[in-house]
Amino acid sequence: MTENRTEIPAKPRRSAKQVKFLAGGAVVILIIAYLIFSSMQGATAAYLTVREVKAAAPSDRLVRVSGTVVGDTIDWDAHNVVLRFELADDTGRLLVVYKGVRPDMLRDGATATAEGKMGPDGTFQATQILLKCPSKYEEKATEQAASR
Amino acid sequence: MTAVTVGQWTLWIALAIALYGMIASILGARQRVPELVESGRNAVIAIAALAVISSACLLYLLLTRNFQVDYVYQHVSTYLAVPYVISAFYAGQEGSLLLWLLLLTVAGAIAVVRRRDWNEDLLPYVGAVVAGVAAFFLLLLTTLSNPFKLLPTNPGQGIGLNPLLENPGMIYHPPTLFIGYAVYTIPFAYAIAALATGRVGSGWVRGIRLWSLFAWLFLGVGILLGAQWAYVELGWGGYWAWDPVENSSLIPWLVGTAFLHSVMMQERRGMFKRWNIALATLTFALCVFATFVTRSGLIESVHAFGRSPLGYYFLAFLVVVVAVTAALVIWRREELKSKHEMESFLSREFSLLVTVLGMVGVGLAVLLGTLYPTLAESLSGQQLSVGPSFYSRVFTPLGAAVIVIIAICPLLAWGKSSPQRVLRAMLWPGVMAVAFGIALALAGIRPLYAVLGFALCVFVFTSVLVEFGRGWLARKRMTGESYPVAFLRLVNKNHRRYGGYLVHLGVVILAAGVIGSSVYTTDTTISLRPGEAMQVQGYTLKYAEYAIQPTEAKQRFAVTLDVSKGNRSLGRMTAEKNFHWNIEQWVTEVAIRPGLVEDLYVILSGLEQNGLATLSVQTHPMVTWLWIGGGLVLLGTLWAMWPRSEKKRAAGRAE
Repeated sequence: MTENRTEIPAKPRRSAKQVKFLAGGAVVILIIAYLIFSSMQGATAAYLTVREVKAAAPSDRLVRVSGTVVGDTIDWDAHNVVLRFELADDTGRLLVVYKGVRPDMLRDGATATAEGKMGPDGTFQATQILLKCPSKYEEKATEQAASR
Repeated sequence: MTAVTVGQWTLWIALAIALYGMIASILGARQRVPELVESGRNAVIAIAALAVISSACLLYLLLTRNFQVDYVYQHVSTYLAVPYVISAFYAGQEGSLLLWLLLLTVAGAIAVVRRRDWNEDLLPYVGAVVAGVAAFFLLLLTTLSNPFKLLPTNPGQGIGLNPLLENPGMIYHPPTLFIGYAVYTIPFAYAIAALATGRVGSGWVRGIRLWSLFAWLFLGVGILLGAQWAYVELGWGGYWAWDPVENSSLIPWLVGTAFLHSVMMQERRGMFKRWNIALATLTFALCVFATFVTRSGLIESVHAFGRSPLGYYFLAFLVVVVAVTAALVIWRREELKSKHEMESFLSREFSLLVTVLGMVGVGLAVLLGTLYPTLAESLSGQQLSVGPSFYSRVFTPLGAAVIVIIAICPLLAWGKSSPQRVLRAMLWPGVMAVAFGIALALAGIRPLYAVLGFALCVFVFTSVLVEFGRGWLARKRMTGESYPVAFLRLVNKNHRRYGGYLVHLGVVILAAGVIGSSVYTTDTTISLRPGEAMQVQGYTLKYAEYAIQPTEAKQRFAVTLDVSKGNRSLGRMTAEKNFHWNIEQWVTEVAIRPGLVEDLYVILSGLEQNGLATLSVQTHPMVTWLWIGGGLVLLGTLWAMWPRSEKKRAAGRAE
């Protein structure tokens, strides 16, 4: 049925009309581009070192800090669901407080990335913790924990 | 060791034949030497056969657990169950690339033997592209990523599969995706063939319709199966995390959706020729990109990219794909001019253009979000991450726009529609949507943007149903058939249209599920002692018993709850969290009670020796709608692909 309806003779008109549709398409593209770029603002978090995080004043800007979990500092309060641990990198150690469930892969030597803000009390208030295990498994060896 | 030798040598021979097949096909077609063309086609069939043999060798080595083979050692152990031993085939990089090669060459062989009048001239080039792409994968498999690499000694035991992968999801999710990725090579091959021969008219797009629907279907189903797997197994309480690997499978699906729609323009109106070439190429390139992202560390860090030369090979391949296509497009620019021009904003043409721009735009947004950290790091050295808020901010307005277009586009006629006619067609859906929205708002449902989202879904749903109903009643009136007969004959008369409508219904149901689950998910963390009970979100959870026991594979931690709502008992739920000895990792087994309104989802976060349990109790509204919507998309696509009988097709031609 489609076969014989395919080619409807073209009108030999090449005109300012087409400019209208090009403009229409361009508007759509501009809207999408605007959405992408405006959404990118504020959705990114910069990676900082422990020293940089500590030096920064408390602010509302989300940052990420990566380091190694110091095993004997892990303090998991199951009743109140608060997790504290220290994160170490080449520049120092940082006390991270996370109100949420203890991630399974949190243990000594694991590489953790905490996303959050520096609190006024000098602790890092994490809203998200990502862990990468020092493991031989190449896939899915990351774990995500986020407080909603 | 014979299987190793055979497996390895078949890859080397296949590489030689692929290179020969590519050259023979192109030369044969250009110099018009039928013998060379024939030989090129045989080469494509031969590499498919060799890929089958090589894959069989790897499978045999896995099943016999020959740990001297590095790949077997990495992914299999003596206590791994047979289905997972088979799935270990694609658990790592080397096997995945071999699977790609296998699927690609088998699809390619089927494509080149399906000789018809309309594709006689195109086929040699299709074969050449298939052989060329196969040569790329064979190059990787014979050099950098050899699945048959041997260890100096046989370790006697393997590392085995990560228990997170020991889920039925591992058996069906990756191959489904891979079939989608690999089969998208065929539309790309036809696009190149159309450019090479200059036959860029509607022939090639009509010819690849089944291939592109098939690939799109597998890709979509694969993505949904992955979401379902994440939801039931990974235990973080969601089905989609905007993780780079997930994103990279979504991007080709979005662009592939744009492609499915833009081919209609070429078939019916001879327009969008360049779009179709570009979208076929882009979809294929994004499928290759997805494979590469999944199997390399590119996204986590640019440093991981530098560590393995594999990344540069993929990059070079993508550059070649895009450059060759671009050069051919410039060469054929005259033939690629549109036959028709747009007539009106209120036309099927313009709404399809918006659909294509919308889908490609969403795809590019996801691609940018995925690549942004890598780009930023390599350009400025600054490490960044892009959070889920980026995706929700982009997706919410664009998703709403796409939903509205789904409702409006099928109402518009080719060429030009009168505004009165469109408004009349939108009357009932509009009334239903407004009434539904007001009812939800009065019932206290908030926030208002979610109410608006649901109302839009109702708008689309009703408009698709009205389209069905209109055709049905018209047919009944004209033919005097009974209602059921008229309905069946109607949907059977135009598989493509009614299959498409069913897909649209499925997408809307899926969209409603996404809105419901992303806006209304709740998460409450509670601590309970044995015997205690607590109310969460209207459910009463009573701590019935717990178990801490070692088994052969793991240390088991389990908590069983008696769940009730009001006076109605909902039965028992057991949430587990087990420490697996072999990988020294915790694996969470979530307890889920699915429902049409919402799923109750309980994660055991911690269990002390005295029975004190920390539980994350979540409600995920309307997640079931995702699976229902996905099922409809599957059925609709199958219906659209279903061939009409020869008799009917002949009758259709005579009409």
